[in-house]
Amino acid sequence: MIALFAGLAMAQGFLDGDPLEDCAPRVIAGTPGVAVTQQATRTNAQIYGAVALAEDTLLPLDGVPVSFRASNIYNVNRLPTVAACRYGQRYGMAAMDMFATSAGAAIPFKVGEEGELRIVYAGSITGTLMHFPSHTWANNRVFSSEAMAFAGIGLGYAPFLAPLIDRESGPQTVAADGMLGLQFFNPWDPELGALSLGYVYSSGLYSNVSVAKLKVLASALLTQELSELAMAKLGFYGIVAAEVLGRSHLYVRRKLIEPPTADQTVAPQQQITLLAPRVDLHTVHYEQRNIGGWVDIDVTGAMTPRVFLHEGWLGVHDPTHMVDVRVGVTELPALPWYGIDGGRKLSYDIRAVYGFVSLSRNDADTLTNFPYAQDAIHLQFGVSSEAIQALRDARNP
Amino acid sequence: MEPDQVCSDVGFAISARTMECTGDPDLAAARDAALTRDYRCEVRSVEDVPIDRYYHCPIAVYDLGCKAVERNGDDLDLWLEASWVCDVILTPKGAE
Repeated sequence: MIALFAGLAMAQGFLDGDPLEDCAPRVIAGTPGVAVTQQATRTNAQIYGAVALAEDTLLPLDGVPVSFRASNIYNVNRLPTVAACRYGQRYGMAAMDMFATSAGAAIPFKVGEEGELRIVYAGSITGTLMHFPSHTWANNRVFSSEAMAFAGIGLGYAPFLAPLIDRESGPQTVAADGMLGLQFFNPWDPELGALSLGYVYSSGLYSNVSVAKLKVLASALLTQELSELAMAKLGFYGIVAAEVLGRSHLYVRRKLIEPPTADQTVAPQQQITLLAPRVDLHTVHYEQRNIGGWVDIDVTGAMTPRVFLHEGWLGVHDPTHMVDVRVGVTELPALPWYGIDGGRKLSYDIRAVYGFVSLSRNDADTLTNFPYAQDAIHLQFGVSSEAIQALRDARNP
Repeated sequence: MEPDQVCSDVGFAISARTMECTGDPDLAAARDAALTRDYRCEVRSVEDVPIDRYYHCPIAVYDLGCKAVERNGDDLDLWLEASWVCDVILTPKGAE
């Protein structure tokens, strides 16, 4: 937490001497960075929205009946900004942050003797914030971002309010989403799999197939939202070669990184071509978890667009997974269409209370989801698939 | 803001439009690199002229349609014709 505050204090820079009370800042419209912001807003809603919460925590066969989370990512983007201040014009790159809050529940019902179905609902509020120095305590960057993230948890349980909440003011946005669905379990063997059908406010009809976690996993391909994110995993999970070495995971992952889209400049007949230009990031992941009950090692190599070490982590956790600390490096290729030079970044990831609280800086998932982020800090509270896994590990070491 | 940020954003705009219209990441990277290699940024201070006037250049470049992107190809002079401001902030290296 100290690192978060220190990092954000150093990153502030712009308008340090001229607080918001003396200046009227505005982002320069039409720059490529603004288009990136629009893309970041969509990505944030997909990854941390209602559907993602349901897929991560409610719909899996080993999911939980009630779930919520509040997420903030700081420094997702930097935008050229002009401020008319009392003592003249000021110019700078203003940092943009994203918040997301989501909540949901899965209510089970018995059908006949053996059958079971669940009503699943989830709601989310996601958005974009820009911060400028201010004398007012309530405008403090961390405080106001976290307040936005936590304030939405209650509203997340009322997804039908989604149509009333969407707002946009320049690069600052607030958007709501909600889903309502039914999950049907395999009547012959409920532990084998389930089919979910529902309606999502932002994208319409929804379907999802949850399969039991097998040694070979290919579930990501089956979910509608993850296929839109164009991510797929295939590999081996939880192999135990020797008890003292813990569990091994080995899988390949494909992730498509989309370029920013200048929607306003593209004629409708040209937009079809925009589906093609993406960068394929194929990675090979080797994870050795729980070595001696304390140590984790993760190594990821990228195969395309070129061969490089994507990330390397060394982690230590207590046997109950109450606290989990990892330090490593993350590398991304140069992406000049995002204004990014690429290169290696020092990364850390701290998880506490079985992962219900997590703080990370420049972790590979955040940087591949938001590849334009220069120095991203991600703070999350609540239930995640990792937290559910950590709880399971704590119960069955 | 660094004075050459606006020039970097011109490369960002050329690369983003190339990527969006051609889908070729190598070509998008090459055009950004060519701008850095072949042109000098003339912006020495963000205080001389309001920077939003300079930003007319990257905004105009980013506003180019895919037909213009195809026509401009690797000719950066053509790209920089998108705005008269581009001639003010970027000059070919070696030119007087």
